[in-house]
Amino acid sequence: MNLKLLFHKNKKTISTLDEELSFNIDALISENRSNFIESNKGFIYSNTSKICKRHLIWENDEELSISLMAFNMACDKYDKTKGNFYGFSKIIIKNALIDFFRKNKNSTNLIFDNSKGIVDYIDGKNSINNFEIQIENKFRADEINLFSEELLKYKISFESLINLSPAHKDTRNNLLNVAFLCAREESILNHLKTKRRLPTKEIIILTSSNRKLIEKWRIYIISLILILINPEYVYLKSYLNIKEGELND
Amino acid sequence: MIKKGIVMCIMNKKAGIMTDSGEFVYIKISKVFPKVGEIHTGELYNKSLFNYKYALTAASLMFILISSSFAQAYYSPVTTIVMSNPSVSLKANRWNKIISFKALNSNGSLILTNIKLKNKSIDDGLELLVKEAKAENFINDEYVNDKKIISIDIKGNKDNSIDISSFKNIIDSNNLNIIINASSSNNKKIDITVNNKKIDTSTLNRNSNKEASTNKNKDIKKDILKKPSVEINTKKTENKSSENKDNDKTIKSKDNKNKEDGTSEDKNSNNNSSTIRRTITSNEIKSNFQDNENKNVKISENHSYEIEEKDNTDKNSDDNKHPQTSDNAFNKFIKDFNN
Repeated sequence: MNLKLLFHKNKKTISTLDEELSFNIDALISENRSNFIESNKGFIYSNTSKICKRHLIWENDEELSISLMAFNMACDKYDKTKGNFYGFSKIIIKNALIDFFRKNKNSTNLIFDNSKGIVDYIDGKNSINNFEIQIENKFRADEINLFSEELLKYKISFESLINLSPAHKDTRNNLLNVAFLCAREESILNHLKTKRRLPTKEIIILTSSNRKLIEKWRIYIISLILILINPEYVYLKSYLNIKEGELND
Repeated sequence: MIKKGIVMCIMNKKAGIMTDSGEFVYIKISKVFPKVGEIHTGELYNKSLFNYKYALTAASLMFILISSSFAQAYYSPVTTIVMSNPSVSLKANRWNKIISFKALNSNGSLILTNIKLKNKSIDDGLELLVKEAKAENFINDEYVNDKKIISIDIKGNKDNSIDISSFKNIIDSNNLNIIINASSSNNKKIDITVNNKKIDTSTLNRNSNKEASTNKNKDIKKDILKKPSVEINTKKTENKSSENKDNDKTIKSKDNKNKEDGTSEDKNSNNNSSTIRRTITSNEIKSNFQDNENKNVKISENHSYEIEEKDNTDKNSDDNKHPQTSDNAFNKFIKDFNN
């Protein structure tokens, strides 16, 4: 009985929290915008620092201003068909940061983050319902179809991609950095888009990596670059758990 | 390992996913069928499952191969046994199991209709035949009194040892006369054992054996290897043995090879109630048309045995070197049968 009571209490508290943070579409109207952003600064900060993996300061760090701009953009673009607002804005912020890393010449090392299970406070509050999941899945499916069509232009099928993708964590992080550096170089991207193949020599010079590595994981690198440079793959890009790592890694 | 990621493509029983850590892997599809674009969780698809099919086919092929070769070996006759009156011929495989049987006269067919011999051991088969022959009244007191002899010819084309312990028991209990001829082609050995004791070991030649056992008075040509024939008479065969004495053959051998051996041994050894007379003649003597090796074993007892062994020296050179040991073997054998 006691246990049951406890559960009841918990449910009540959660529901009250939901009510507190229940999202009102009116807040997105440009008159109320500044207030709304102000109230969600905590959300923006936590997301940004999670991706950058370090403590940020509002006055100093460029990443935070990027996130703010992205949040503002999310407010503009959001409509109800795109599911939960917080999920949506999180994706937008993440992609904006990834783009920022990509364009930033003195970018730091990037890694695929493996840590799971730390459910954010904000995630818990904005628990996504089935309907929203379905909408997200639909968006993702569309992206995947686009992606597979684009891969076919490079004569890559999902099968070959899966068979030739690295399993080891270090290799994956290495290749992610290679792909990031390549995605930043216009000349390499042009070469890739016109000739449908990787300019191995240039990549070796640019990334000072092994020729064998590039040739072996050619397919994986191409598909990573495609995901990173194409602004249409919002969900795919944000699903990849890309984080700023330490330079020494 | 359990992986979670966006489903990129779906194949028969696996789904290609992209995990949040940048891996592209296949996962097994369990109960829930995923759609492209969903976030799906599942067990990692094991690549070794690919080889599983091949391993299975290879294993089944191996199984078929092994079983067919075994069947081939099982159903290829190695030993042929001809039993006379009732005349029956049996074919046995290398494991001494009867694989086919045929009646050579009407009596034989009458017996074979009533008993099942297939896949029985030679020992059991012979025992069954004798039992059935008794039941059908082919073997009765008259048969015994007439001193009819059951002759058994064993031919083989492989080294083999045949155990006839229980057959011997039934022969003993019915006081039957029996002649066992073991012969083989290609200088292969056939051992006939009773209660795990060898009673006859030699390389036997098919052609000469018949002559040896049937036409005892005939001279045997030198290039044909002579093999011992063992006659086991479990009834009183006093008269017969005296006949056989008269019929001791002379064996002509013109083998030049063995001329150097110039020793001849005559041995008379006495056992309690038995006399073993054994003559080992050298090849020189053989070339002078003398007996190779004659052994007459007479045991005057309730049962009398007669063992006649004719050996060629070039076959069993051991016999020349160790005549004593072969004598011992014979004594053993005789004791065996006395029991």
